[in-house]
Amino acid sequence: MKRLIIILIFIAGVSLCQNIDTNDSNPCSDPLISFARKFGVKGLSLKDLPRYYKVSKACKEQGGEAIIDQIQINEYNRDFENSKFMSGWTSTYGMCVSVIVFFYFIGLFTVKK
Amino acid sequence: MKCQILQCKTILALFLIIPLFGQPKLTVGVGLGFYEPAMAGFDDNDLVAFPTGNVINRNLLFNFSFFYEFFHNARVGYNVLSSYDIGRLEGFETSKPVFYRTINYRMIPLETFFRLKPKVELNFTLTPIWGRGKITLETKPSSSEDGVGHTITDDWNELLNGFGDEDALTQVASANGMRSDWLGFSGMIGYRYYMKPWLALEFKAGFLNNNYDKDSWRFQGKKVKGPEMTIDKIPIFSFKVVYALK
Repeated sequence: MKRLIIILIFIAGVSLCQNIDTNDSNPCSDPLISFARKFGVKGLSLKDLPRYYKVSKACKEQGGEAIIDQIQINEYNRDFENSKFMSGWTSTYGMCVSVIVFFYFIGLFTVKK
Repeated sequence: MKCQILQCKTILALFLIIPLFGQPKLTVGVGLGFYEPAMAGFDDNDLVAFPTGNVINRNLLFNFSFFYEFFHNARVGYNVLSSYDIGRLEGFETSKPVFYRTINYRMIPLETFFRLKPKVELNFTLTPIWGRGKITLETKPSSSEDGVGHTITDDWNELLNGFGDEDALTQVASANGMRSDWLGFSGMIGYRYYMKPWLALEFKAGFLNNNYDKDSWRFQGKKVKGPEMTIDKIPIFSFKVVYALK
């Protein structure tokens, strides 16, 4: 129980510390924004997401719209680079699905019962 | 209290660094599906007046999905399309039981995809289906004073007779339903448009192939006949909003 209270106080301290950082400094220089710029929003852990959205909104309000837009563009480009080509078995799989669905619809319109 | 402890920053850094080593991409999707099954067991039933069929209870499917991107071009997940029907059954001897009908098409899809443009994705899905149909009657026990009136068992017998099952039930527990499971498979091709890196609209077209058998329904451990439904080899279209959690 004692340990639990100490852990709770510690966690509260950490989040308070994070809040103070956010309030005091420019939201656009928040570590989460820097991280998202480098690795993308999808790289953030789930628990950091609400805070990221809060900070990015604050950053936009303080004239950092270009930074947030750039994060989004980078994210699009990163995803595009990663998956613009199918590699390995995925193209074979995609082709099989296309053929199955294509012949299903051909059969649907041509075969009469 | 202004926290400037090194420990504080280390913990924060840890939270930030952990996702670097593995960037699972989790997505949830909510949407609607459209299909056109023939439900003769409900619509053309001469013995039981089932709730009138309309677009919502016949053609509309409520869709929920959850996907995990395990590779740059592939994701696996869980997808469920559900059809619901509810209403009062008319034409029973004395009672008017409330009728619930649910059909769930549960899938574990394997999807591969590629991006045509930074905001546009094409995806290809093949999935096994574990379908389940469930029918429940909410009915009152006999309300007559001598206890000889219409009972739950009578209501169920009337319903099952409506499906062509002449084998009368002798006793029915109060809260129960009949259900049926079947297997099938589905193939779909989808088009996804990303409005934001984490938010997308998706349209899919494909088919459902279900091995549904009207004679394989179960009711309280007994095999009974169910409604006649033509749900094998039907085209399906779905539209959903996809949200990337991570």
